Amino acid sequence: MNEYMNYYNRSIGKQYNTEEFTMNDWNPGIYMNQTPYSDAKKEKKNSILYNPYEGFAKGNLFKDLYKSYKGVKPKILEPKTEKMELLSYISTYAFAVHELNLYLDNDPFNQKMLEKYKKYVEELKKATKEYEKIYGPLTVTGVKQKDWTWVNDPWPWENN
Amino acid sequence: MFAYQKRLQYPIDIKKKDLKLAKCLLSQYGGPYGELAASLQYLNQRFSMPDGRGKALLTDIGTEELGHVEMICTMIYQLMKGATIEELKAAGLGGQYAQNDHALYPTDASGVPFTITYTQTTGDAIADLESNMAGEQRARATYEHLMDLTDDPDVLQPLAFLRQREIIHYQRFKELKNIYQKELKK
Repeated sequence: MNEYMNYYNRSIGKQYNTEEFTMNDWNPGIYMNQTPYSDAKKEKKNSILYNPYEGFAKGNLFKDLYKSYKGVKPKILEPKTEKMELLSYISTYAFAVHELNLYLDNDPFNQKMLEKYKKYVEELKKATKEYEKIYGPLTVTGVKQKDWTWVNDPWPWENN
Repeated sequence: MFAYQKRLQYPIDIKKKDLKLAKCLLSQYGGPYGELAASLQYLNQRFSMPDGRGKALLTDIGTEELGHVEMICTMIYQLMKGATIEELKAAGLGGQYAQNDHALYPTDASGVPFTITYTQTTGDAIADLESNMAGEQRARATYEHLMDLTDDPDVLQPLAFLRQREIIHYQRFKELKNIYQKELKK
């Protein structure tokens, strides 16, 4: 356990249930049959979009474009730690943001999509800020610790 | 300007070593229809797109493809982790070991080094976008072949994710091509 791990263990618990960041109903294991977070509940059934969580698991936010192959059921890794869980949450919203980004490039005056985009960006920013405070930077300007934690393992290609 | 994000676009955690599959996955790293070729092709083409929509879309998809290069490299790295020289030789990766040890090096599945001649740029937006649509279809087909080659869910999930991304990119390129074609007629 390195110094950084100690930092992580000290911060967890204290930081995780703050009122400004509500991840309580985030449960990546159950998305197939349930709608585990508020966005999904609000999402209309006839929306052209999946909710961010289902979209991320499928690699596709747009219902009419999803085609599976060989019946491979979409399922993302179940996060083993609170750190991985928060990172999944970030990746989920980053993915939804990116999907709407590509969509808006071709249709820049679509106000409805732009509104949704801004909402997802807010969620992404909030979660990223929380992650960087507890676990270390996701981009090089996100070092919030007293030490230069950018160099800390693991890097994204290493098994977690 | 590009800024790195210290995370993968989609999580990868492969526990089972599989050198033969790693060798096949090289096709999507340094192969003719691979992610590296796609990324460089789009990031080059964007300079001659006729308007902001095209410049944005090519920049954004080209950047995402760089993230896919990282995902493919991660899969190859994890599939080869801890392999002995004997195991590498048995999987037909003896040459890879001689030249690169366990390091990553962009080749196709047969060991042919990556070449920039895999990429196409004409300066004609319609021709370039049609070429990209075809490229996305070829990459989708390659991902399906790779999915045929494995039963490991740790590998199948990220491959299925990457395959879907090709479908989305195809759609966005097609939309942009249709927009340009309509506007050029006026």
